[in-house]
Amino acid sequence: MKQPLLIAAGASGTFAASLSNICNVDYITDSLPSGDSAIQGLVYGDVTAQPVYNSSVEAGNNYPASTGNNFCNVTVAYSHAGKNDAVSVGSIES
Amino acid sequence: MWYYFPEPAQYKGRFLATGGGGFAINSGASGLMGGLVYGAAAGCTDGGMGWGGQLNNFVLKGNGSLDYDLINNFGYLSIHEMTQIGKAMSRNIYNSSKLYSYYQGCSEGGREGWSQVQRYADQFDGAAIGAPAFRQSHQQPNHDWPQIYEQSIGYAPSTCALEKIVNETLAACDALDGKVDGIVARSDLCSLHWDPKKAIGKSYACASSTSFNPITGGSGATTPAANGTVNEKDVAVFLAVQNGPYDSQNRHLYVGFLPGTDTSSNAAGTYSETTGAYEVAEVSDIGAEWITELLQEVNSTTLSLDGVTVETLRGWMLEGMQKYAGTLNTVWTDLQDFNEAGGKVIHYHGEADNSIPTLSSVIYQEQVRRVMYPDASYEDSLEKLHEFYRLYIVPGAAHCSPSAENGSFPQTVLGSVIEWVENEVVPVRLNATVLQGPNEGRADKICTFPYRPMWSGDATEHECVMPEKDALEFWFPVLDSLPLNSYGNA
Repeated sequence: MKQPLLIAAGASGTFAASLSNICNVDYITDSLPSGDSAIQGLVYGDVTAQPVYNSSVEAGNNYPASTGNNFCNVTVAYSHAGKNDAVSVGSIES
Repeated sequence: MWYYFPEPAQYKGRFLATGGGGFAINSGASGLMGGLVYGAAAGCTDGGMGWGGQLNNFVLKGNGSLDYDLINNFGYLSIHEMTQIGKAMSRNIYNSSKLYSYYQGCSEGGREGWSQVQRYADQFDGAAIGAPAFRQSHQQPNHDWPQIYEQSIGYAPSTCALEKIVNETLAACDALDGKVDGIVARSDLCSLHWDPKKAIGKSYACASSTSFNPITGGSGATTPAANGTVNEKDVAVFLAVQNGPYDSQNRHLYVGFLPGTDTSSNAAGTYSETTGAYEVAEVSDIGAEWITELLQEVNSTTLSLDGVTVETLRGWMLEGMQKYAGTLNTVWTDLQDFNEAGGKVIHYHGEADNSIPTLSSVIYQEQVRRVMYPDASYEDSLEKLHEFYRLYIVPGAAHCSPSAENGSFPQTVLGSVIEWVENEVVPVRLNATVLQGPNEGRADKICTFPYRPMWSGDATEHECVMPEKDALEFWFPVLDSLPLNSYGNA
């Protein structure tokens, strides 16, 4: 059973990692649920991870505006064992 | 699957699952950004169709060969998998087991929210669900009802005539909530107070325009200037759309739209240059695709109404119930496990929605109440229901958006769900904001249904009152055409 390579929490219990610490394919891949916590019969495919800095969210009908957002833009492809299907393998239109 | 994970300093221990609209299972970045606003990791899925994929374009492997795996994936499974994986990733990425999980979506995205709440009791701590496109068996064919009715009487009205009836309704009913603001905020009282037949003989005049159908998203032909007086057939069409279809034995087949709703784009005819008259328009794209692709399993997006009557429509609804009861209909009414798991739902629906009938949400919640609290009094059962599931009818709002200039919209609805879940702030009245017009930014409060707004005197805030008996009964029509109770699968 694979164990994620996690960044340890600091002595205060806060999690002090930066975006670049968490936003890479290896770290994101390690965060995928595995072993007993995985979904039965599900097979992971390609993983992508791209940091985005200082992003602004314009107000919409369902949320107010927000600025200065830093986040990791992630895609994960997978299929179901024996079904020859594939979820999320297309290119992202964002 | 597609996720946004905030940088650790901006992360607040939340995961948000998001859904789509129409026949799409996601809203892309515009959905995910709703998580960033609240410090939540957010996710969506393409359901195996590729980004931008629409169910109807993928659901047929060939004529007569429906892809049932895809139906199940779209119906509930893909969002569930995306959520399970996204929640686990959130715990692992931020190295913290403490996690609140939420859902937000409107229209088809609202149906997808219910598909999760009904099945996976402990998956979400809270859900913000708008105008859900559930009961697809009825919802989709109902798009075709205006054209079916018009064909049966051999008449299609102009947009201008229909808008005149809407405007007369507004004039008659605006003040019924005690405040004249250009909004019918008591459609229940309006139904008792105003008969659209009173609009017959009123004159209308409109300049020429290019039409736009918000349901199909397409632009129609340029409509010439229209001048005339509202006639009996204009009102007959208006009422057929507002009341919803009745079968040939005059039994109520399904609900329509609330008084005050502008249904002119649903029912307006297409002006013919050759005849100089209005002819029955093509049915909407989604109303055609449901019949041809999802029911008939034919790879065509064009629906002919030749020979189609209200009995055909009834048959389509019955067929849809049987075919999609376990997937796309999404009207399971026993929410006991979700309640016991501590989950909360804020469900809202525009009072002037002309795409998904507001009553569709009302009759679902009513059936949940009847199923879960069969022995309690009305007031007691409401109190129990409102401990975890509240419905809000948003005055003046259209489909998943504000409409009336002075109308507010629950822009921060996810914030209200979060407050309810994390801080036990019960949304007795739901926060809303005027998002347009001269009063942009003004705060408003939406009553928990069935309580409804009423202004008195110089009060700066409306009360939320229980409607009188007749007005209350208006919300729960008896649908007696189909052998199964269309309110749900009790």
